Amino acid sequence: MTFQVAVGCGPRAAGAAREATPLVDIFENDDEWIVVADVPGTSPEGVEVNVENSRLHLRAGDYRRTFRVPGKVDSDKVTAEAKLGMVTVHLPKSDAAKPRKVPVAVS
Amino acid sequence: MLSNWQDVERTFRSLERQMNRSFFGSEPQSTDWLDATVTSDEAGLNVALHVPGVLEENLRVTVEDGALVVSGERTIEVPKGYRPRLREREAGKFSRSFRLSSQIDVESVVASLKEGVLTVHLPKRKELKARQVVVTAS
Repeated sequence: MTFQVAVGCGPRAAGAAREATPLVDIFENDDEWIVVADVPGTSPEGVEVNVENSRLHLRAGDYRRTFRVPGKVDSDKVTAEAKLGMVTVHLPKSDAAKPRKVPVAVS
Repeated sequence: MLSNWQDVERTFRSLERQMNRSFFGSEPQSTDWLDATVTSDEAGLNVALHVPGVLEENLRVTVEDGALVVSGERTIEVPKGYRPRLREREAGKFSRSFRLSSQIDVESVVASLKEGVLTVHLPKRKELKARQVVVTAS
């Protein structure tokens, strides 16, 4: 006989729920955004990243989450890596989303 | 705010965290992210604990005084030169314990870490395992 007890109160604690919302950290510099998501138990093959219409769709095993990205992403250059139960997505900004340096003319 | 990231489907979790911050001042120590599942079968107990981003050398698993204790530390660093836009993941020290029945063979407990999940197998003591008795007809 096998029984299951959900001990925690985290995203998967609902037991029957197959889909969970991963917790994320997001970082930004002038060139890109980095999204780091906790997706324990997910192998790299189970990760799917999609950027469409300024929306980032992240699916990693049972984890799924969608964000609206506050700027244009160079979607051809998006990369993702998975290790230690985390997924790290690099979203390079398209030129329009980068801060533009205004040259100051010296007279 | 101009560069605000929006969760398209739900913002509840971050709202909840913001409320925690304003009510408690500092972030209360939370083990929410250390989700655990305990299963039991004939062979014993299996504990699966989510520890994403925690390195093996920063994990400590002990069995003593009738409890399985998993403790450790997760460090999260803001990459150099980057500004944080959203912080939901917990960092710092953590500890979770699970009370065990006296049926566990403490000497035979094994643990492994894979893709951010710590799995601990706690076998039952041999003499407690049900043994099938062969009935011979005479």
